Amino acid sequence: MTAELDLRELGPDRDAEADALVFATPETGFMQSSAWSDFKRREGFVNVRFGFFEAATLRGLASLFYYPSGSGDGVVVCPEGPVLHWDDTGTARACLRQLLDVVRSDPRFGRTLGLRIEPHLPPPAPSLLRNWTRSPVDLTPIHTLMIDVDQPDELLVAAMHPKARYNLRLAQRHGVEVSRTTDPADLRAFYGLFEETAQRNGFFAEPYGFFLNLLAALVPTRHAEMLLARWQGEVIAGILVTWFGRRATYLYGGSTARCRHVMPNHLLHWTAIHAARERGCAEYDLYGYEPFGLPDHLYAGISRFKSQLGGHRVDWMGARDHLFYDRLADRIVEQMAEPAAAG
Amino acid sequence: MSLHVERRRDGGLALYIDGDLQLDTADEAVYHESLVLPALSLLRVRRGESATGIRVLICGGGDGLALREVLRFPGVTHVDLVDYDPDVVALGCTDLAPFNLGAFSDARVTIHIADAWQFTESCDLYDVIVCDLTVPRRPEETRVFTREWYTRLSSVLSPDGLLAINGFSPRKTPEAFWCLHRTVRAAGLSALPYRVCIPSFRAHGYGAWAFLLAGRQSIRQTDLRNLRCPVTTAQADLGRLWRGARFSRGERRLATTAPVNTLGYSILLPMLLNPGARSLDASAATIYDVDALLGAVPILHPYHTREMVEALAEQVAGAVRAIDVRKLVQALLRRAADLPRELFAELLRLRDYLRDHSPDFSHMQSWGYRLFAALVIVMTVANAIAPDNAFGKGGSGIGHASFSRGFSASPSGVRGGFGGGRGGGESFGSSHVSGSTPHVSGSAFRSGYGHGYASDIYGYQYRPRVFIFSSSRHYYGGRGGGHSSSSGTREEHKTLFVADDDLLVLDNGDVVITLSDTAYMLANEGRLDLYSVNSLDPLLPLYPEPALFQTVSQEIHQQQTAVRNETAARRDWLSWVGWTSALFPAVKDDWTEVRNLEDLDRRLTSAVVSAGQPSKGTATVAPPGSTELFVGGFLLPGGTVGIHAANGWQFTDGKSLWTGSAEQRQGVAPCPPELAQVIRSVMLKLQKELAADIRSLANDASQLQTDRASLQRDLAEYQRLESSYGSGYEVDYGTSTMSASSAVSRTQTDIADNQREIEANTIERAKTAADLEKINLYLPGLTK
Repeated sequence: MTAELDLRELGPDRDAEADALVFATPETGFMQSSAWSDFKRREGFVNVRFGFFEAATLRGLASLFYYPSGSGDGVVVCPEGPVLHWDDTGTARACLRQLLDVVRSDPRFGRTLGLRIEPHLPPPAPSLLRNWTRSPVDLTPIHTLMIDVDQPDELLVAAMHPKARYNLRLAQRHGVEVSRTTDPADLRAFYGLFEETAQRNGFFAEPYGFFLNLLAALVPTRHAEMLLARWQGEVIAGILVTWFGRRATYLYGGSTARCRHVMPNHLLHWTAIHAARERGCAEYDLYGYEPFGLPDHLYAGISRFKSQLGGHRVDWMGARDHLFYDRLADRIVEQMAEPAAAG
Repeated sequence: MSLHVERRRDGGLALYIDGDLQLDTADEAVYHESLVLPALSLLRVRRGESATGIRVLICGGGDGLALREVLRFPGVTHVDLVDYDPDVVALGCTDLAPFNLGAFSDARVTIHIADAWQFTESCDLYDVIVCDLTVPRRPEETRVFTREWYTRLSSVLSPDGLLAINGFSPRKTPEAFWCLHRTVRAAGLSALPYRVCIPSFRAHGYGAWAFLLAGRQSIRQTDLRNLRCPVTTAQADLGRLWRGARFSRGERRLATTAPVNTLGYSILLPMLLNPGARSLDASAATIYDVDALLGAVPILHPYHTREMVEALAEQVAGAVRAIDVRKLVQALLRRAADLPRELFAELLRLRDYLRDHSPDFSHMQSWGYRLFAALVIVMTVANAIAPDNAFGKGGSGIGHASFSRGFSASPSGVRGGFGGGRGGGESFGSSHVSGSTPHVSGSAFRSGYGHGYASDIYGYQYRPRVFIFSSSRHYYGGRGGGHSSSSGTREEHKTLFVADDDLLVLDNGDVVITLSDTAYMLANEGRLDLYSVNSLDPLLPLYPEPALFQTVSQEIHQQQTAVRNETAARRDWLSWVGWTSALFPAVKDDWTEVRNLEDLDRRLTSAVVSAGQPSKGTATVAPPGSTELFVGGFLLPGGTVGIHAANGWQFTDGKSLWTGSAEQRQGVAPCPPELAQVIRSVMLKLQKELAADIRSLANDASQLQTDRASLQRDLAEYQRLESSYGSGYEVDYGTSTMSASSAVSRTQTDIADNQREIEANTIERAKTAADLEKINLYLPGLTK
C-alpha cells in the first residue's frame, strides 16, 4: 500500500536522526550524510536536505546538491540517494514525484536541467525509473569489491590471493609500519603520493584544496582517517578511508613507485580492515573495480591489485537523470542564439 | 571557504584558502611590499615628502601583512581594513601577528568584518586604496573585479589618490590579467601593470605575479622608475620594479582586445579558468562542428583542466542516445519562433522521421546533426559546472585511439578494425587527432625530462621503454631486405616523449608505434618496419600506410605547436626576470625548462623528418573475412596471417613464410621465430581484450534480458488496465502518468528498443566470439 509521506526540509537539528537513517539503509552511502553535506558546502555547493515524514517519523531522505554557476545551468544531484524504501514501489514513486516538483520549483536550484539520483540498487534499474535516462556521469563506481570485515582474520587471509598474502608478510618483514592519522599536517605527504600515483596511472587528481576541505569536514566528526605506511623513516604509501555506519570506504590512495619492492599497499589495506572492524563496520568497500578484465580500462591496474585482497563483486545500476525537457529546449535555443556583445 | 595553515619547523607559515596559496612567510614581503609601497611612494611624490594625514583603505588583506606595510610608511594617519572573513582576520591576530608585527593593535587601524562592496557604498575619501583580494574562484567573487567596482572605488578616491590592485599572472592567465587591466581603465582610471617574481608562487605553478597601480591622474612607467621609497624593504627591490612594467608587443595587443568585466557581462572567471582560449563563446566556433564546439566549451571550475572537459564531453556524447528525442523535438518545436531557420527545418524533418521510425541514434548524423551538436554542448556544459563530475568514479575509462590499427579499408568501404572496430579511435569526426592544441603543463620539463623519464605534453612522467636495434637496420630473415644476420652496432634508445598511448618518440628522434610488450613498428624515412624487442634488426618491412604516416605527422605537429607556444611564453618571461636566476632557484628551473622544451622541439622536428612520408600509395584493402591485427597485418580465414609488406603480400602460419596467396604458396621459406613471436604477442593481447569484451557484453546481455522481462510484465499490466478501464485510464509510467493506451504504446516502443539492443549485443558478441574463436584456434599453431 502506498504510504503518504510528507516532504519537508531538514534543519541541522535533525542531522543525527537523518544520519541514523542513512547508516541503517543499505541502498545508500556516506554522500547522504550530514558530514558530507558540510564538506560539499565548503566546496561551494548549495545543499538542501529533505526528509520524507510519516507524521513525525522520518522515513526517507534526499540530500540534494547543486553547484551554482553564472555560466549556465547544471543538474541537481542526489549522490547515493535518495534514501527510500525502494521495494515499496508506490511510496517510492510518490516520493520521487515530490522531489521532482521541489527541484523544479525551488529557486535555490536555479534553472536546473534536471535531477540526478544514484541509489545503490542492483542493475537493471527498476521500472519505477522507466522515464529516467542513464546519466553520462556516475559519481560513485558501478562495480566495486566489498570485503566482509566481520569475520576472523584466518578467513580474511584465506580469501586473499596467494600473492597478496605473500606481499603482506613481505611488507612486515621489510619493517613497513602503518600509522593512522587525522593530522592535517600529514596531508602534504599523503597528497604527494596521491598525485604521483594519479600521474602514473592517468587518473584525474582532485586538487590539494579538495582534500583540505574533505578533512576539515570529516575529521572532526570522526568519519575519515589517513593511513600512512612508512619505511626507513619515509612515508611511501597512504590511503584515505571513510567510516560511515556499517561501511568503511577506501576513498583515495597513493604510493611511490620507488619503494614498490617493499609492498606497502597490502599492509595498508590489512590495517584498514582491522580499523574498520574496530569502528563497528561490517564491510570495507574498495570503491571501484573493473570486473571484465578490459586491459584498456582506466581501472585495469588498480583492479588487479584490489582483486587480490579478496572481497565479493557488487554492481550498482548507476546514476539516472530525470531531465526537464522544456528547460533543456530553452538552453538549446539559447545556445543557438547570437552571442551577446561584450561590455 | 577553507583555510589551512601549514606550519614549518623553522617557524614559517604558509596560508592556503580553498587550496590556493595566499602567502608564504618566507617571501610574502616581496608581494606585500611590491603591492603597497609603490602606491604610497607615488602619492608622496605627488604631495611632497612632508605629506601627512594619509588615509588608506585596505579591501581584503585580513592577514594584516599589507597593513604592516601601510603602517610603516610615514604620513599615514588612518587605515580602514575591510575583510568579510573573520577567520582570516583571526589568523592575522594570532598566528600571523609576529609577521604583521602586531599591525591590528595599531591605534590608527579600524578593522571591519564586512563586505567591501557594501562598505564603499558610504565611506569617506581615501588617498590610497589597496585591493588585496583573493583570486576569484566562484562567480559571486568576481563582483569586486568589475568595472562597476573600480568606478565605485574611483568615487571614494581623492583626486590624486592611488589604487594598488592585486592582479593575476600575466603569463599563466594572460587573457584574465589584461581583462582586469582593461576593466580598471574602463572605470576611467589610468592603470599601470607591473610584474614581480614571488618564489613561492612560482613553486606552486602560479607564474610571475602582477599588480596594477591605478588612479584618476595619469601614471606612467617613468613614475615607477622614479620611485623614491622612504622606507627600506626586506625583500622587494623597488628600484628595479619598473622593469616589471615592460610587456611585449604581443601582450600589449591583448591589453586592447581583452573584454571588460562587468556585472552584466561576467567574463573574468571563464578567462581565469581557460587561459589561452581566444574565444569563450561556443557558438562562435564553426557551427555544428561538434569537435570544434567541444574544443570551445570553456573550463567552468578551477579544479578542471581542458583534458577533463574533453573526457567529460566524450562521456556525454555517449550518453545522449538515452535522451527522449521525440520529447525534446516536441519541446523545441514549441519554441519555433526562436529557432534558427536551419535547425527548425531539421527538427521538422526529424519529427517526421521519428513518426515512422524509432530513434536510432546512428541516424542522428543524417537527420539531426545540428540538434545532436547543440545537445552535446548543452549537456557537457551542464555536467562540467559541478567540480566533482570530472572525477566521477563510475564505469568509464575506455582506452584511447590506437595508432596500430584502423587505417585500412575493407572491401565494403567500412573501416577496418578488430573486435567491432576497436582500432581507429574515432571521435565525432573520423580523425585520431583531437580538435584542440594541448597545453604544456606539469613539471616534467623542469625535472625528469632527459633524466631517465619519458614525459607527455601534459607533464606526466613515465618510466621509459628501452628499444634496442641495430644501427644498420638490415632486415632479419632475408625476406624483403637482403641480409640474413644482424650487422651494425647495437643501439639502445629510450622513450623520450609519449605522444599517445602507443605512439612514442625516442631519444634519437625515431618514431615507434607499439603493438604489444614485445612488438613494435618503427617509422623511418617513409618506411615502416616491424620489430621484435628480441631482435636487433627489423623483421619485415611493412607497406608504409600513407594514412598512418599522415596521422603520426599531424599528431606530432600538434604537440610541437604546444611546445613552441610554451617556449615562446617562457622566453618572454625570462627576458625581464632572467637576471634573477642567481637569486631564485625557480628562475633557474625556468631556464632548464626552456632548454628542455627547445630540445624537445628539435627532437620532434627530427622525429617528423625521421619518420618521413612514403611515396604516394593507396590504403591497404583488408582481405575479405579477415581481422586486422595491426597496420597491414591480418588474420585470414583459415588461420594464415597475411602481412602487407613493402614489396607485396606475405603470408605465414608461424612456421613458413611465403608470397603468392594464402592458399597458393610461392617462394616458401621458414618463418623467422621472432616474427612468429611478434604475431603471437599481438594475438595474445587481442585475445585478452576480446575475452574481456565478451564478459562485458555477456553482462550487458543479462541485464537486457532482465529488463525485457520487466517490460513485458509492465506491458501485460498496462494492457490489462486498458482492457478493464478503457484507453484513457490514467496509469503510472515511471514517475510520470499517462493514459493506458499511451503507456501500452510507450512500452511497446521500449520493448522494440530493447529488442534492437539485444540484437545488436548478440551480433557484437557473435562477432567478438568469432574473432576470439579464430584467435584461440590459430594461436596455438603459432607457438609450435
